[in-house]
Amino acid sequence: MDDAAVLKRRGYLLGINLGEGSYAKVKSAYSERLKFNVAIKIIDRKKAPADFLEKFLPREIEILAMLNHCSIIKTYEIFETSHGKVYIVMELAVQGDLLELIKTRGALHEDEARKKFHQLSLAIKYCHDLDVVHRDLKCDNLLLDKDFNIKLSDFSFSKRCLRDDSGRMALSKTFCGSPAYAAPEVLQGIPYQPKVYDIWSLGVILYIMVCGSMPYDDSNIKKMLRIQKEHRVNFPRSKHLTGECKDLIYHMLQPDVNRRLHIDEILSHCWMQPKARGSPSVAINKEGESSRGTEPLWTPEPGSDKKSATKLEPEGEAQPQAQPETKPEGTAMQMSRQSEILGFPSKPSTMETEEGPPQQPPETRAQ
Amino acid sequence: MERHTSHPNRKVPAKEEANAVPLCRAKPSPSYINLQASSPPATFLNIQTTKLPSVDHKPKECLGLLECMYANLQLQTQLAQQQMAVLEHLQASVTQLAPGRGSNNSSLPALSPNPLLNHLPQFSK
Repeated sequence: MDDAAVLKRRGYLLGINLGEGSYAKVKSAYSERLKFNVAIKIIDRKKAPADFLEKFLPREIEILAMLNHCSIIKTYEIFETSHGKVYIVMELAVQGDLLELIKTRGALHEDEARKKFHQLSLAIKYCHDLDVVHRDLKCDNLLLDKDFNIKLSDFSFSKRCLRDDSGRMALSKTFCGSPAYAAPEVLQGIPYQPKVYDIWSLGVILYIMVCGSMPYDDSNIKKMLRIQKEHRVNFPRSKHLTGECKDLIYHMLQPDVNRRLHIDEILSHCWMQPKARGSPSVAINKEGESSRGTEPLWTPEPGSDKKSATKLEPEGEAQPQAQPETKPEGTAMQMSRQSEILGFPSKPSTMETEEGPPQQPPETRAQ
Repeated sequence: MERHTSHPNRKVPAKEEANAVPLCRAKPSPSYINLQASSPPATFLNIQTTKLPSVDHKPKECLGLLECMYANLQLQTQLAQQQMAVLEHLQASVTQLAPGRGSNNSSLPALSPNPLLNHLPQFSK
């Protein structure tokens, strides 16, 4: 029995192909029960590798069944036929994925990026609080609903973190993900903390959102790894990014896993806070699943929304909006204080803005 | 305090601030996992010569994702080589059956009993 017949019996009218891999494909369908279109991932057990069937697929199914968050693609139904095909019926994201959006429209304005990144961060916090890690965070896996809200998808590499008797998280040894988004410890094959790995990928995603380009060129992995380990982040000056934004990215792309930001630190970072004046960047979770993180942590001064991040800075540190490249020292300070408050080791001397650590002479960048 | 450690008067030459490093545009990034560590099912690839790296036999300083990518490339290379071999055999068969008519023979489907053709669907991913 072909897919269309199987799905018809289940109340789905098969639509077009949305994507296809070597042993799985995704099709759209209309659900007669739900009365709207859905996406159905069809996995052919006969074509899938054994590891996938024995290890990753059961994990994915278990995790999909437990997740329920407005910024994560919903799973409506999972069933399997006697012919060895697994059908995962999911929410359909009609606006495609974030990568396509950025490729067609270019980098996002910071306000728009903030909104989307806030949604994504809330989704990751939700997962991490459940001890679920994604391990393949990338723009391709960030789908967009009709209102261009983020919907995290593809939990193929996800897993539930294991803890030892003392409650410490076990290190992962499955080196997975996408090279351009993979943390240096994963690229090197060092057993890693999976939640910390996710944070690195978030840093890459935010960079792509606001720059429209990749932070690291993965055409030369060796060189890429060297740049990552040197904590060099090159921001295109033409984008005029705020210091706060660069600060957040820089601290997510921290090669030292013990100093990389935690998801809570990301959510409380000054750049992440909603703006005043009803700007579109105000991240209102319209489904209201979580009030945490959507509440402003401080009240912006009237007319100072552009410099909101300086609320924690010493007086007089606000910089003219027209000179974003000169702001990082203030944000480094802010970040440092934030890190201190959170007990997070800080090293503002390595704060990077444009090309490399500002404390050092302008260095020769990637050859 | 930490403020002094930042760079209050940082003046990066304009040349440095410009995009001297060519930026790589946002692009798709394929996912990898060390699935190669185990043997694929028979229906996945029927390449007897394919040697997949095993985690158990990796040196201690394995390179994680890099090794996965390398193994994947090796696999793809071997696939391509196998495809070439199949096509060459196919071409030879056609030439033998229809001497002088070249490989653009429209009667190609008539060769279906050739066992080589049975391999084709497995390489068509």
